[in-house]
Order: sequence, then structure tokens, then C-alpha cells
Amino acid sequence: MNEIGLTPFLLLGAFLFACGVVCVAAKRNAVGILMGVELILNAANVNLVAFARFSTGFRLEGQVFALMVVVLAAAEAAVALAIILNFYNNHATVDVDKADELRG
Amino acid sequence: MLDWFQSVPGRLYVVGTLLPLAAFALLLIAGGVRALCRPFRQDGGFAGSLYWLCGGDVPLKTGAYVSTAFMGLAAVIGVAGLVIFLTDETTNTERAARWSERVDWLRLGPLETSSPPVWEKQREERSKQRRADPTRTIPEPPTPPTALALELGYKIDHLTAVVFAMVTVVGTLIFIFSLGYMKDETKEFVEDHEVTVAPAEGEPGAHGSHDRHPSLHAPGHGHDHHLKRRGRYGRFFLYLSLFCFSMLNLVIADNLFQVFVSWELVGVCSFLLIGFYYERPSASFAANKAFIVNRIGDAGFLIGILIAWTYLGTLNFEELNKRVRAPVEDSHRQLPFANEFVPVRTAKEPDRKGNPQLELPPKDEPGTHIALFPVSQIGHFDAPSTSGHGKTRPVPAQQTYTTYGAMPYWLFVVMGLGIFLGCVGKSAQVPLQTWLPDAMEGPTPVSALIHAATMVAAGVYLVGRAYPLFAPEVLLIIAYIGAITLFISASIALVQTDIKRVLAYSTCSQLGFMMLALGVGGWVAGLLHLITHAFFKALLFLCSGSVIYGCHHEQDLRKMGGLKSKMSITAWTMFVGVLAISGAPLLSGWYSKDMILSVSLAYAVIHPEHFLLFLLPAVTAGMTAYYMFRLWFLCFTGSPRDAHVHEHARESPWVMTLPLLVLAVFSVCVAWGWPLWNVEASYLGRVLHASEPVHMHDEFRALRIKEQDVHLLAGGLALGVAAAGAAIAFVVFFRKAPDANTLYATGPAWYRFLLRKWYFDEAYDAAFLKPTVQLAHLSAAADKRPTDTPHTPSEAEPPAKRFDFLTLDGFLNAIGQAMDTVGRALRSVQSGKLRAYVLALALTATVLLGMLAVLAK
Repeated sequence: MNEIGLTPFLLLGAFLFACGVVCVAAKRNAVGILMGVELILNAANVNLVAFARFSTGFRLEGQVFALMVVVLAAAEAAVALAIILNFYNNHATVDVDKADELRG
Repeated sequence: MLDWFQSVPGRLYVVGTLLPLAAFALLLIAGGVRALCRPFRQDGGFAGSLYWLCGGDVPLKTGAYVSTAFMGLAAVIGVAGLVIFLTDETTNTERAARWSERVDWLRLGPLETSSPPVWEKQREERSKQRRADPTRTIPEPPTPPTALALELGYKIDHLTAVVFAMVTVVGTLIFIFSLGYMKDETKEFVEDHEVTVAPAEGEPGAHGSHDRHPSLHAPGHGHDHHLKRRGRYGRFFLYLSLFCFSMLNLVIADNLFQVFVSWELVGVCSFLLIGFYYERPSASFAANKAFIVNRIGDAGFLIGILIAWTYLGTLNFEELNKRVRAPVEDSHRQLPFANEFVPVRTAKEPDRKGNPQLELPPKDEPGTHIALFPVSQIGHFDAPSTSGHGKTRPVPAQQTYTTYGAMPYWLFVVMGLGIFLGCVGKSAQVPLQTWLPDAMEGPTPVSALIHAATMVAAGVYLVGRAYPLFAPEVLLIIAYIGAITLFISASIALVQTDIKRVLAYSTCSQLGFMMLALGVGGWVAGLLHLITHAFFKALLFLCSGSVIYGCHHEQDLRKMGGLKSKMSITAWTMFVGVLAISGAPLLSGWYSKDMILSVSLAYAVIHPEHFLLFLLPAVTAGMTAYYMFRLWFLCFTGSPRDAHVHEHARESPWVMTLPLLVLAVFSVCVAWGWPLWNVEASYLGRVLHASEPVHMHDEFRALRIKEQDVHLLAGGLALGVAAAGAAIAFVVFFRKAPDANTLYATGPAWYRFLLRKWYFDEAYDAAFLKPTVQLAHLSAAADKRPTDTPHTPSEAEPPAKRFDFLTLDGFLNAIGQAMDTVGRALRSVQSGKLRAYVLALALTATVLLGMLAVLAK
């Protein structure tokens, strides 16, 4: 069985990351932005497990880190959704362009 | 106990010095207890009885008697000490051990001042080698590092013993006189007629039994509202005791630092005593003036002390003397330059180690530095020999961190001038003489104490003590300051109409005589005059005090006259004083003034360019006789010019006249010797001569010889001029007996010029006071805010008001405004647009990573 190397995994991670950033930067819907953030986090996860697989020094650490990020993402999603819900309750919209009350 | 004094009789003087301090402490504690227990005065308990014990409402006389007794005891000790000292047959070295002691107060450096045995051994070896082979150069043994020590110590020599006896005796007599003079202060309420207070409207408790400040209490009854206060009998003696202690401590001190401490204490006491009637604006003003003018002199004194401390490493008089003047001999031979300043200059070539070296300048060239010598003769100091100038073995310029091999000559002069400036302030010489006449605001016994025995004597005494430290230039300045002062003050005294002011200016003038004598090299003459003057000036002041007391505090000569029949004891004792100060033959003043004039004439003959130094005192001798006889005639002879004063005048009680009689006896015979008519034979003069600084024997030898020649001439001249002055006074004020109108304060320009004291006060006002006040006003104006908004200074404001706003405030405001501008510029960054933030983040990350990638390569 042909072993695929580290590079494709990293490319996948970079691609996912770029998608996430574009999503965060381009979307006006707050829930969409949250999805972009999830993409960014998971891009990092792909990198972590890939390194855990291919470099001998990080066999365990990479996987543990990935699990950690998953948990973190869950917590973050909970907080972010709560914020979005509150924002919606107050402004009747989830458009982040409307959330500029603290601008300078 | 007796052994303790027998082995070190100098301790007598310590006891004598501490006695007035003990009186001071007792009175202070009693006063403090009284003040603390005052709230309980109505209760019969312990605190209440303590209150009544410590004086109660009425000032207690016990304190005054105690302090007078202590002072009398000090006088007994002073006289006994003088007798013991003069009959002490021991040799010089023993005498030093018996009559001086030192203890450390503060010490920086090694404890041992004596040289360690190692150095002693090296020194012995060195001299052995030297004897074996004189041509070989032998390395110098190291000089021990000198410790910087502040010490407390006393040293009794002839001068100290005499001055100590003088201060205690005169002081005691003044204390006794004060017992009578200050009688008014023993009342519970003293009315001060010179202070008017605004009537207190509806003040409760008119007699102040529950008043917190009974001393400042003004009762509402009566149409004139003079100040009523509690008598201050005890407080007067409290200050007086502290004053005497400070002066005695100054006299026995063996180092400059202790002198300085006492010096300041004397200053504080004079402040307290001149301002004794501090409710009078003139008194508090005079006290401030005396204090502030003295500070100017003290600043100079402090500079002098610090220079001595830095370069000479010690403040002990004897050691200072040894540092600046070449030693007389070492173990081998008589040294050249014995007891002289040795001028040196920096050698062109340093030694092998690169340290700067000093050498003797060639003949007829002044040195830039003055060589300093080790205090203890450890190692061998090669005093440069006179033969072969410039070829001598150089002296190391720097030895340890505090012991220099030499100090710049100009600094040495500045040191002498600084110390002398302190003396100028204390002894009221031109240009700092203005405080002394104003000091007359104090009670008359205080004037006597300040003017005769203590404060002003301190300056002259210090010049005498620190004499070996004065470079020839400094001595010349001292002489000129003295000459100018004696003339100016005497000329002012000619026209004054206040009895005490005449005496005050006379004091200035006589102090000028002393300074002049010291400056031209008449050490004995100057200090002898200090002693004799102390007695007759105390007599004159106490007499004037007796007159003032007898005339119910009338000080104006224009209102006196014909008082001789009313107060004969005062009149005749004062006449003795007048004769003494005028220099009538065989009275004490004659001996000292004769000496001063002959020494200044000798100086003027040797240095004809300084003829003023004889001319001024000779003329002033006549002026002295004139104004003193004028004072006496105006006061005691002729017809009464003010019937009211004359009617109520009466002789003072015996407690005041007794000191006058004693002082009169002293004024006549304190300087006597045998034969009486020979000034040189004055016993007091010979005693003082014994403690004359040794270097003077050589330095002023020519002066001494010349003095013998011109003695008769100077004495005759002085006597003639004084007789002429007295005769003029006799004609003008006795024969004609002027009425009050002719003495009024108007007259030709020169008369007003003298009456206004040469406009010294006005000149100082214009030169120093006014500019200072104006500067203060200017600063205050600059600090004032413009009235409108802080950002835009209005053009309508005067520029002075905007000055501060534009500079200091302007600077601070500019910082604030800059911050404001930056903040405004940056607020657009915080747009509140989430996507813009993300974009910025992403771009920044990209740029940073890109930079990292480029830099990592």
C-alpha cells in the first residue's frame, strides 16, 4: 500500500484554513462566521494529527492536542451562539455589520 | 572627686560651662511642667500642686535666683580656674594634658590616631640608613590615613582662661542687675505701653481666668488698649542662661566645629532675647534682622569650615595650625621655614608612577599652592631646604584620600575670608553692622550681655583663635574692615540721640579697633581691648539701663539732662566708664587703646601705603571721647530738658547699683600692672602674650621693634586727640547746655547723613530687599492663571500673567493636546466592521509570516 506523505495533509489543512478565513472575512451572517471559525480550527486539527502521524516526536501530543481543540471548539461554539442569540434578541438581526456600536 | 580635678584641672571649666546649661534645663523643665499642669490648676491634686509649685499664675522668682546663683558659681570657677592656670608650674607638654581633653563625636576612619608600630619601626630603620649613607634615597614610609572626626573638646590656654573669667564675671553682674531691671516682669499682668491692640469686642471672661492664652489677653476696660500679658521673669533668665552657656562653650572649644555649634546657639539666643518683647513689631523686626544678617556671615563661616575639613582633614585648632605651617624641627635638625606658610607650585614632571609632584618655586616667585604638613610627624617630611631653589626633593602632591600634600593658595585665602566673614557678622563689622543698633530693642541687660561679654566678643575671639590660618592678604582685609568700621560707626555715634544707640555704635567702633589691631599684627593689643572693652562697655550699658529704669523707660537723650543730682551713683560710675572708653590714662581702656594705636602706627610706618590704618583710628579716638562725653553731659549735667522725666527720676535700687560699682572698679584696674604708667607692663597684657601664636614672634618682629620706637608718639597723639574731643564736647554740651530744640533730628546734609547711619539700611533696602520683593511679586504674577479658558491665552491679559501659561503650563498642555490628536487620528481604525478586522488580521499574519520566511533564509 502506497504511503501518502505529509505534504498532501498540510495542503489540505492550508486549503481548509484559507476557506475558513475567507468565510469569516466575507460573510455577514454571524452564524456563517462561526462556521468559518470552525473551519479554521479544523484546519489546525488536520495539521496536528498529520504531524502526529508523520513525525516521531509528537505521536501522542498531536492527537491529544487535536482532541483538545475539538473540545475548545465546542465550548467556543456554545459561547458564540449565546452571543449571537442575545444579539438577535436585541437587534432582530444577525448581520455583523450592524454590530458596530463600539466603533471609535 | 578632688583627685579628678587635681589630675585634670581643665575639667573645672567643663563644670563652669555646664552650670548655666543646668540652670537653663531646670527653668525649662519647670516651665514645661507648669504648662502641662495648667488645666488642673483649680484641682487640689498632685498636678494642681505641681502647677503652683512651678510658678502658678504669677512668675516665680526662684528660677531667676537659681540661674543667677549658678552663673555666680561659674564666675567663681572662672576666676579660680584662671588663678590655678596661671600658677600652674608644669611644663608645656604636661600642661596640654592637664588642660585639654577631646572626645569623639563622630568619626569616619581609623580609630587610632597614633601611628602603628610598623611605621615607627620603618622610621627608625630609615633614620639609621640615612645616618649610614646620607646620599642614598630611601623610600618614604606611608603616611597613615587621617581620620575625619568631629570632636568635642576643650583646651584652656591663657586667652581662654582670661576670656572665660571675663565672660562669667561680667555675666554674673549682668544677671544680678537683671534681677532688679526686670522687676516689672514678675507681675501677673504686665502692660506693654508700646503695643496697642485692637479692643476685643465682647470678649467673655475679661480677666481670663479660663483663657487659654492669658499672655495675649487684652482686657476690655480702660480707654487705651495696651497689650497685657503675663510677666516673663523666668523666661528672661532662661534665655540668659542658655546665652551664657553657648558663649562659654564657644570659648573653651578646641575645634572649629564646636565653635560653629555654639556660634549658632549664640545666634538663636540673641534672636530670642532681642525679640523678648516680641509683641512690639520693632522688636520682632530687629530680632529677625539680627538673625538673618548673622546667617550671611555664618554662610561664609561654614564655607571656611568646609574648606578646612576637605583639605586639612581636621577642625582642631592646634592641628590646623600644624597642617598649614611648617614644623619647627624634626628629630634631626632645625628645619627651615619653621612656623611659616610654605608656598609651592606644581612640578612640571610627575614622579615615576605619574603622580603629580610639588616643588619650591624659584626665589621671588609666588607659589600657586601652600604646602600642608602631616599633623603627627610620622615618616619624615622633607621640608624643602632653602639652598638651591627648585632642586629640592619634591613633595608628593596627594597622599591619601583626605590628606593632601598641598592646597591651592586662593582656596586657603577663601577659607580665611570665610571664617572672617562669620566674625564680621557676629562682631557687627561693615558691611554687616546694621543689625547691632537695632538689637537695642531688647531689654538693656541683654544689650549689655550681647555688646560686652558674649556675642560680639565671639567674633573677635574667633579671629584671635584662628589667627594662624589667616594668610597675609586676609589679615590686611581684616585690618581695613576694622578701620572702616571704627570710623563709620564712630561718626554715626556722634549725632545719635537715643542713649542706647550711641552706645551701640560705640560698640561697633570699638570692635573695629580690635579687628584693626588683629589685622595689623597686634594680637595682644586686640584681645586686651576685647577684655577691657567688655568691662567698661558692660558698665556703660548697665549705667544706661539704670538711667532708663530710673526715668521710667525713657531713652531719649533730648528729654534727659541734670540727672546727676538724682542718681549720683549711676552718674559717677558711668563717668568712670566714659573715661575708660575715651582712653584716659591709667584706666583700663588707656592700656589697650594705646597698644592698638602704637601697633597700627608701627604698621603704617613700615607700610606707608597703608597710612589710613593709623589715620582712621587716631581720628576716631578723638571722636570716641567726643561722643561719650556728649552722652554723659547731655544725660547728667545742665538743666532738665523734660520736667516730667526729671521729676520722676530716681536712683535705682542697690541690686542694680552694686554691679555698677563692681564693674567700675574692674574698668579702672583690670589692665593694671607694675609700673602703672607703663602700658607694656600691663599684667593682663603679659598673660595674653603668653598664648600668642608662636609664629608671630618671627613674622612680626620688625613690627615689634618699630612699635617700641613709635610708642610714645602714638600714645601722646591718641591722648591729645581724645583730650581735644572731650574738650569740644565740654564746650558744646556743658558750657552751653543746649536745649532740646537744638538737638532735634534736623540739620545740614552731613548731619542727616550721619543721623541716617550713612544710609546703610536704605542702601540695603534698595539693593537687596526691594529687588527680592519685586522678584517675588513678579513670580507670583507669572503664576496667576488667566481668567478665561485654559487653551487660549487671551491677548488682553498682561504678559506677565501669560508667561507661566506659555512656558511651563504650555509645555504640559502641549503633551496633553498631542495625545488628544493622536487618539482622534486612530479612532477611524476602530471602525466596528468585523470583516475589516479579519482582513487586517489575515493580512498582518501573512505579512509577518512572509517576513519570517524571508528573514529565516
